[in-house]
Amino acid sequence: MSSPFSTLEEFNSAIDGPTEGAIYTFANSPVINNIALIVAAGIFIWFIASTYRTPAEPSRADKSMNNLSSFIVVGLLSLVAINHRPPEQTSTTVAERKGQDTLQHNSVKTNALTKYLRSSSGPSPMGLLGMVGLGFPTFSRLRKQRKSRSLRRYRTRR
Amino acid sequence: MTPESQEFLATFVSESYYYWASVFMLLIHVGFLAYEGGASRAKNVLATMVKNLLTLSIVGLTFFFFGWWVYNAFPLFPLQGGIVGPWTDPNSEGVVGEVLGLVQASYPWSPALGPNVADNLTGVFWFAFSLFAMTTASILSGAVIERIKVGAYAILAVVLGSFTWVVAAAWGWNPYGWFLTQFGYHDFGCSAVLHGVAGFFALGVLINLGPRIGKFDSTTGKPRAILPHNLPLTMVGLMLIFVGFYAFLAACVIFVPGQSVEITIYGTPMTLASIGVNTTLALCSGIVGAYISSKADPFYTISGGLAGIISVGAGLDLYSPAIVILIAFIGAYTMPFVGNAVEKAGIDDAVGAFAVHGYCGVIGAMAVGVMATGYPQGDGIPLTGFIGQLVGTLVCTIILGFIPGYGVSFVLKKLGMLRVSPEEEIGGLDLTEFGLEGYPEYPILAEGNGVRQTPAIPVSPQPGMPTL
Repeated sequence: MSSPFSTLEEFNSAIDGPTEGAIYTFANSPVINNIALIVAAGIFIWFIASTYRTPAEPSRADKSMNNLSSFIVVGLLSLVAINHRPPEQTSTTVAERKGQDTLQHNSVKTNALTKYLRSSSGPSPMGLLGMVGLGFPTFSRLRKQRKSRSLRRYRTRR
Repeated sequence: MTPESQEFLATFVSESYYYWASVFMLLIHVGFLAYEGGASRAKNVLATMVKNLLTLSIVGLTFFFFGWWVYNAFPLFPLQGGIVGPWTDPNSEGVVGEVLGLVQASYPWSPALGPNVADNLTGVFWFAFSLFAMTTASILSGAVIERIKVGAYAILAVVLGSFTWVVAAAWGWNPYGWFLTQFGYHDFGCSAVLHGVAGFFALGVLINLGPRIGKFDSTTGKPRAILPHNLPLTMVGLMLIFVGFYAFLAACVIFVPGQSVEITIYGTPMTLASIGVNTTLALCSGIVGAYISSKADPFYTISGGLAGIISVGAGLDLYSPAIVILIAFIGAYTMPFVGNAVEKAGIDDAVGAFAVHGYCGVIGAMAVGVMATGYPQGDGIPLTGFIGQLVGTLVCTIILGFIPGYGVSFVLKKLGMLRVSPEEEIGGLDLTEFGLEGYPEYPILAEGNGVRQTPAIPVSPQPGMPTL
């Protein structure tokens, strides 16, 4: 019984009784109320801790090298495109000739840069870096998948 | 000071106490107005708020016509006697005679309800009770927003606000009620008597009313969020409801001239101070519980305060503060799971009325049977206990809550009087009911909610606006 009183008379004259006026639950056995108080304090600490668990977390920064390697590859491709010389074509029409002339005229402007690049030509280390960058996360993912697959097999066998 | 002056002063204190408590209880309705208006979509904001406003008139008048009489006439029925009324022998003695005196003061033609210098208190008690009744009906109004016909809501509000909950109060919140005298039922803050009845009544209505268009995916059946158009207004509304609840619970304290202590309606001693402490702790603990379990969902978190108060309402006069914190926490912590389960069952409870009022009402009433057992409440009356609480709770929630709500709404549905047409619902109730928009100066974004938005209702020119 959580009531400190057994009769209505005791309840009505609580001020003169052993609880000295207290009429609340477990007033005659304060241990229970003290335990409840400790649990209540624990709940409050739980609440404070839970406020740090923001439910809508901001999107995490991409820690993989995909973006970086994509930038490297795109940069490399642009350099390769400058080096690339289109195959010579025999023009037949006037319009095509005009277009060819324009291209040749433009290519003069980039001649100096092309010469510089040719001088430092050879297999670009950046290109290799980009390929490695692209391949590395995929490779590590594959390794993880293999690991988890083997673990799953292991668990199901057991 | 003469003895007459002292006697009048005691009367005036009592009269003033209930008068001002009832005035502050009106804040519950201000809160419901803001809460439900904010929870609705922009196309239904006026209809929702006006429906809420009409609750005051519908329940206020019917409570005067017959609700107050029901409260005083039904306590003995059916276990201790019949329904007391004009047909009862005026020379009755004993309990029936005592009840008859109160019944005669509760007829709408009774001199006690008019200006009468011989009776300062009957009118002010009617005032407090009518506010209780309006609050009960307002719980239903939130659950059914955005698709119920005003007429259907009015009928349901009369049944709930002026009859079924009043019968529950006559049986379970009355010194002559058979819940108390036969089973030792104790429900100081009306957890099951008011909230349980209203929450389960709303559940019965919602089953027949059906969900709002677009609430559930037509192919998968999964629930979709229909977001409140103004969540800050909803939160302010609930804060106002909290303020009103302090007044509501204060009005549950009985203090009339001649008494030497404050008592509950069951005649047991209590203090107003304990209501202040325990209500505040329940509010705080409830918010914390709902915050943790809903993972900081704003809607559930603010509702958690109410859930906490309702979860301890029945034993608010008896619990120690530490016990209040635990019970309120448990009630509010579990409330969001119940709300989500109701939604998964295909029931569209727009404001979580069942979870907050129905479920927490049951928790509140049953908690007395576990945590406040063995309290004496009168000679020959059983001590508070689990069985007594269980009987009262089941009668309140099932017989006076769910069954009437389901039954009346079923009849209205069969008569085609329950729900607005799909065209009206998609176009928005503000336009169909009033020809007005809640925010006429702002274009309202199309709210598809899974339905292709077509202008079902032509927008009529607003009164007072120049037409081109």
